[in-house]
Amino acid sequence: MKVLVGIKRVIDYAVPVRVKADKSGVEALLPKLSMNPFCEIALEEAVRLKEKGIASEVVAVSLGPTHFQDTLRTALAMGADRALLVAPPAPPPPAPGSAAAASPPSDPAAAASSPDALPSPLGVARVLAAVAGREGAGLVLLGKQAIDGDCNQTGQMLAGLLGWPQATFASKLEGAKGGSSVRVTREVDGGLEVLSLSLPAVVTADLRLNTPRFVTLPAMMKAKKKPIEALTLAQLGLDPSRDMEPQLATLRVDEPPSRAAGRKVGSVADLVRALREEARVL
Amino acid sequence: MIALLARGQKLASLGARALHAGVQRDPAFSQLSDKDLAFFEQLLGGTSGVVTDSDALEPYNRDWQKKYEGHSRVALRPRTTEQVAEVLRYCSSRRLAVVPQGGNTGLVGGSVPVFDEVVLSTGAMNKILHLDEVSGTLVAQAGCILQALDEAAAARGFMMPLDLGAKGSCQVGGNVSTNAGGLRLVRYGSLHGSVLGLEVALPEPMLPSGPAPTPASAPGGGRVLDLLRTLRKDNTGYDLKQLFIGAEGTLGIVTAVAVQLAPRPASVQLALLACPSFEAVTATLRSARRRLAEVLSAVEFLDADCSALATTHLEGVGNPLSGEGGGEGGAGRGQGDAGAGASGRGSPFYMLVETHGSNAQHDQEKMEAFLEAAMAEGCVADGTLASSEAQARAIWRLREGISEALVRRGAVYKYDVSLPTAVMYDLVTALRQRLEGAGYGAAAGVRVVGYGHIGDGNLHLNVSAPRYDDDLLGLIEPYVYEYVARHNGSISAEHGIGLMKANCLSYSKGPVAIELMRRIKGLVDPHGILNPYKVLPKP
Repeated sequence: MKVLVGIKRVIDYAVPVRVKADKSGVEALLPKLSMNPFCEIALEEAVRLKEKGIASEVVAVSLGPTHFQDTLRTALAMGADRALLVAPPAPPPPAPGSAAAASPPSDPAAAASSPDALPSPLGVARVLAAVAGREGAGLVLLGKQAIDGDCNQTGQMLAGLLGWPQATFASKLEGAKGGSSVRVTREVDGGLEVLSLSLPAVVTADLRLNTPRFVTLPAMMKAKKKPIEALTLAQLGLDPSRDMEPQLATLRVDEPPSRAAGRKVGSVADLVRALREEARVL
Repeated sequence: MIALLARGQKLASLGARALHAGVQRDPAFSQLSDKDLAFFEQLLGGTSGVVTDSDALEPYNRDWQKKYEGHSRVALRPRTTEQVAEVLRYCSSRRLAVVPQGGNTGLVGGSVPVFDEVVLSTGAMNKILHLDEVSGTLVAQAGCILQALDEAAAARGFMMPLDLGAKGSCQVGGNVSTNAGGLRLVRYGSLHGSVLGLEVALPEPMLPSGPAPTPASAPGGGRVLDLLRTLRKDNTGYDLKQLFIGAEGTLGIVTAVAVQLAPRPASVQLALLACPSFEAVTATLRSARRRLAEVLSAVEFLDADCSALATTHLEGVGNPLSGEGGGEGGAGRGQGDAGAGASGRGSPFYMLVETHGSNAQHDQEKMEAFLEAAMAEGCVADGTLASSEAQARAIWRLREGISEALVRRGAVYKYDVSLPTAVMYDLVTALRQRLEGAGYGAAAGVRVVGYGHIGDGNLHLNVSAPRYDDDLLGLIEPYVYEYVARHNGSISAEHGIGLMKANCLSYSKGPVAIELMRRIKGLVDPHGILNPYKVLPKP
């Protein structure tokens, strides 16, 4: 069974970000990009499936500019057998009236971090659907969401486009060699839910699914020899104007209001008055 | 980071008595009186500036390793340089001994009272005074916590030129007064180079002789030495600030610091390596210097015991190469996880090699070339390159947590020496054999471990034992000091002398040097009120 894993390159989650002065998006205080943590967990799970003999091949796929190759190299070093990099459509012009229209970014890295430059989940799902068909994938593993968009939609849309069963927020994935189904434990608000999905299926990974491995040097050396194939949307049978149209335009990004400092009150009567008149909770 | 004191570990009174052995309270110092307390309260604005409650005084009276404990009745928290100068004026006139104290993260008992010395804490002097982005200079009060300064610098694209495990608690005034080294000295140099200026409060006024302003009218009463410039080059007379850098609070109290920041690197690469022997470690160091050259920013080593200690005693700390530790979501490969290529067996030595640079692609290429060569040459048996900030922090946690792990395990005898790099680990092996032969071996729960800044020739030698034991101490000292002296090394690479090594200075400095130090001390602090019993040996 071939497993396809979607990989996104994002601002490293440990790097502090702040809202850009023109409020069109966020910028990182350090130019450090890494694999989206949930994609990393999905990839780790796929590699483990291969090590258990349940998966025959792991293919990592990204939709993004050339620098995404660095993250695909890491994916290969972690154990993916092949990697595909699909070139994205040119970013759309910012929506009129949006903050990004007022001051266009001057360098590619900054452009990459503005939300409107990223293909929206539906576009990504269409690309993944095309690749899954092309590869004959039996299982698609994705992170539950990317930490920049936080959309949590791609996996679900992909399953809909393919007409495959889906299990999202997976915290455990069990399968058998040569099996025709997988058993997924999902984290839901009320606790854990266990589903059985017949293959092919789409599963999105949540935090507790596994702890991704550190990449060892021998693996890194070997990964250099593994190929990264470049693909265009046309090769996948996709038309940017028809299939990759942005669904949303970001008008403005603001920081949440900062928490006002607390103050001490002199008596219970004062406290009650403050709760009623200032905090308006009574 | 070192905020938590080891739980359930009472002060090892045996150890403390031995460590204080031979030190008597100097009868020339006065006892604290209520009148003194009233003066301090009036000067420092009541109880927020003056701590007298016995529970609240505990953290001021005791070091974080719980090896040294004094019994001061008061801790002062001035907010301004003028207040510090006034406290010193008063204490000098009253012959009250004073212990300057910053973050109290020192490792040689230099920052806590030995007896009842007044604690003068810089903790309330925590304002950043100025940050100039063009020159990359920062001016801050002495009580600013190192990590806070680094975060403020980071917001403007800079970094502090030093980094150490205690960064969450240590204060910059204390860093300067101890000439702290840290993890990146190999790249950013020592504080003797990166400190551009100081403001110091002296115990006695310094004013020129002859018709001059009277002490009362001079700023700070002539007690404030203002060398606070942000100039990179200033050859005007003797460079006095160098005297106070590393003086451990015995010549004056640093009240403000001007430091040269470094640009925050756009690219940081970190590798954790497993080396089959100490010769392999030194060969890797040479290779790193040659191949990584100008981007090399840190080179650290640790032995297998250190890795075991850190992964056993600290939550969530793991070694991805040995598979030890990790806990939930930690750095380990996970118990029972079928990680490809997991050797599961430890290596005798591990190294951390880090680069700081402006261009990620350039640095990654250099790092990969260095790693490939090191593996081909057999100096490195296995390794991993951090692929995210989270992985980099997990790797640093392994190295930075060793000190804390040692404290949690039990009693620690801690030594910090400079030795010729090639033979550095021989001291660890020799001491281990010596202790084993005397019945203090692994079976007795004793571990002799070595780790440290191999790029600087600095070994941190630690003996971990179930409890403090005078006989064990007698086997370690003066053996370690004599060994270091034979190799013309230093008995304190970076931790300083404090109380711990005050009688051992002659192992590393000759009589002429020590006499000159005494004379300078006598000139600047004739009544000896600043941090007595420390640094200089008893006459």
